[in-house]
Amino acid sequence: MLKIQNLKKSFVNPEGKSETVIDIEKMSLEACSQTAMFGPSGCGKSTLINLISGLLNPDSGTMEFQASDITNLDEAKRDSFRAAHLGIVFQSFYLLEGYTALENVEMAMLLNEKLIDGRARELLVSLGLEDRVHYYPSQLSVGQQQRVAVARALANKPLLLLADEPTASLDADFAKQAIDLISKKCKEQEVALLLVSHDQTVLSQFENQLSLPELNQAYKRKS
Amino acid sequence: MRAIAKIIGKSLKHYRFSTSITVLSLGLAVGLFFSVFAIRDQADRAFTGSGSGFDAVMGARGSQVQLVLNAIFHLETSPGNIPWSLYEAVAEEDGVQLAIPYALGDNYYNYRVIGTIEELFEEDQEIGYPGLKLATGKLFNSDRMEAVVGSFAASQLGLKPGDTIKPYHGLSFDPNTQHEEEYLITGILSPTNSPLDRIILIPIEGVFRMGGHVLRGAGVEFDASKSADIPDKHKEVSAVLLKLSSPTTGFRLHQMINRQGKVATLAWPVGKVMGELFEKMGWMHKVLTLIAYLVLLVASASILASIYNTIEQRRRDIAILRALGARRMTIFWALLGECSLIATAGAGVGFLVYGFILQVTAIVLQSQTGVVLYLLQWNPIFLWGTVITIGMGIIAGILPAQEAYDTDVVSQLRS
Repeated sequence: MLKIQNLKKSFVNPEGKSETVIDIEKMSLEACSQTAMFGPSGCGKSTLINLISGLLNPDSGTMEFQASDITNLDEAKRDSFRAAHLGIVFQSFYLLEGYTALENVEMAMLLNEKLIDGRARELLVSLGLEDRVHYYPSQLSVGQQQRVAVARALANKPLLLLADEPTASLDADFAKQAIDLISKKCKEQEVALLLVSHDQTVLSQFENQLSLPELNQAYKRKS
Repeated sequence: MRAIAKIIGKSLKHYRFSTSITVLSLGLAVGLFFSVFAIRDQADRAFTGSGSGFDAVMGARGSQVQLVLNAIFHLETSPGNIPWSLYEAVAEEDGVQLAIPYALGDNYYNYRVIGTIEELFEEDQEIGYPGLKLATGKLFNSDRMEAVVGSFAASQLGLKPGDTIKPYHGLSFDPNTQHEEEYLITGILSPTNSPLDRIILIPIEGVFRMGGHVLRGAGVEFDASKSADIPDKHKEVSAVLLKLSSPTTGFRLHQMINRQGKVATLAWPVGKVMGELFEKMGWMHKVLTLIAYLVLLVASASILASIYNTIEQRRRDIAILRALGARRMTIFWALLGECSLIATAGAGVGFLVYGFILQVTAIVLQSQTGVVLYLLQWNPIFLWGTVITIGMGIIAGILPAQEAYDTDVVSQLRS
């Protein structure tokens, strides 16, 4: 489903020098697969997520999604691609504060121009938030916020869900439950999952594991 | 489109306090803007239009503006009197349809008491005063001490047919100058929405005979109050209102009275004379217009300030929306849409403010001059003023919208 080849991304550091952060020769994800990607802070996990999601443009290399080259899409097309095919769960969930749980989920659908009546509520109910649909993020517990974030990420029936350290704000017990939930929902919805974490407990829940420090030549060279 | 509408709605709700303040300040500016133009236009029309029903005013030698203000709008003091014979002569001129003499000099609680003749109430609208008719009661009898009261004066003074009044000497109320003569109110005029609503009309003989009044029509003082009969040569009038059959008559009278004569002045045409007055005050209109535009500009800038100040707070939400798939232009249009909605709401509030200002102005103007301003009278400023306001709102939104457009999603979500 996702194929990456010779992907490179550099940034200009505060000293004004170009620094390569991502240099991946090859990486692929299968449809409906569940993969955990691990690595310490600074190894380029978030940058890779941003590259796949189209929030960042690579300097070189190719990314194919469902056999289509997404590397050179213009920004508007990348936005549309992200809205239609990807779901993202951020480390801090990043819920829209002025929107209720239901509105957070519906907004993702509105931005994809495919608002399906009842789907947002259905997703929230399936995540155990039936009595919280009209609550604002500030009125929800951390665990509930995360479930809203998962519902929002799945709202448009994406092909791939990217989860960037989704358990960083949770304690160990909740973290396991959260991963179980994300994993279960992805299986139910037939969505591939790429979960990024540095937490070994989380990683142990996945059979497919990718070591970013091994994949990322730029990090290898640096260390 | 629905996403943009949702983002705008949420943003307006989230920043409702600052939005309300901005809408209110813009509304005050727009209301002021509308008022400056619409009130000026209505006042211009009321003072320079043909609302007085007369084409010309003849009075003592002097300023034409003073003559019109005094005889038509009952505002200025009289420039003096002219002999009765002049009135008779002009009334006989070809092309003069109607000549109504006015004799001023008294008031009743600041409402002018004017001596005139019954022909003012000619029922034929082509000849008489347009729209002038009695609401209740009947016309005064020229041989009796009777009076007819304008609608506004009657309502303010609480006068009705059957009541009596004793006028006060002079055009300004002074409790120590009350005349002995008592007049019976016989009728109340229907509202004309003109200065006539503010006057009290009595037979012209009544003014001649009022105690303390002295006639100087023949060049010598003549006390009419002690005489049974008043020879025409002693009579004098403050002004003569003229209805003319054509502009040619006006031009001829103008030549005869203003150019060749030395005793009287003809203010003709009435609208042009008042128009010249308004032209002289044109600089004031220009200053007011400039101020109105500046106020609107400053208020529009308040939209910019209001939205721009919240951009930093908005960046997080903008980044999230972008991460969810919102295009840059979606964010840009949402900000512009929000600004245009604020401007539209400001224009809406502006209409309310305008209504309030107009009502207050109308009350003051009617009590001072009798001229009525109409709240629902259409003025093109309402259309293009609204368009300008919304346009300025959109322009004011471009800078914050551009800031939102440029939001760096990755760095926002990292922070």
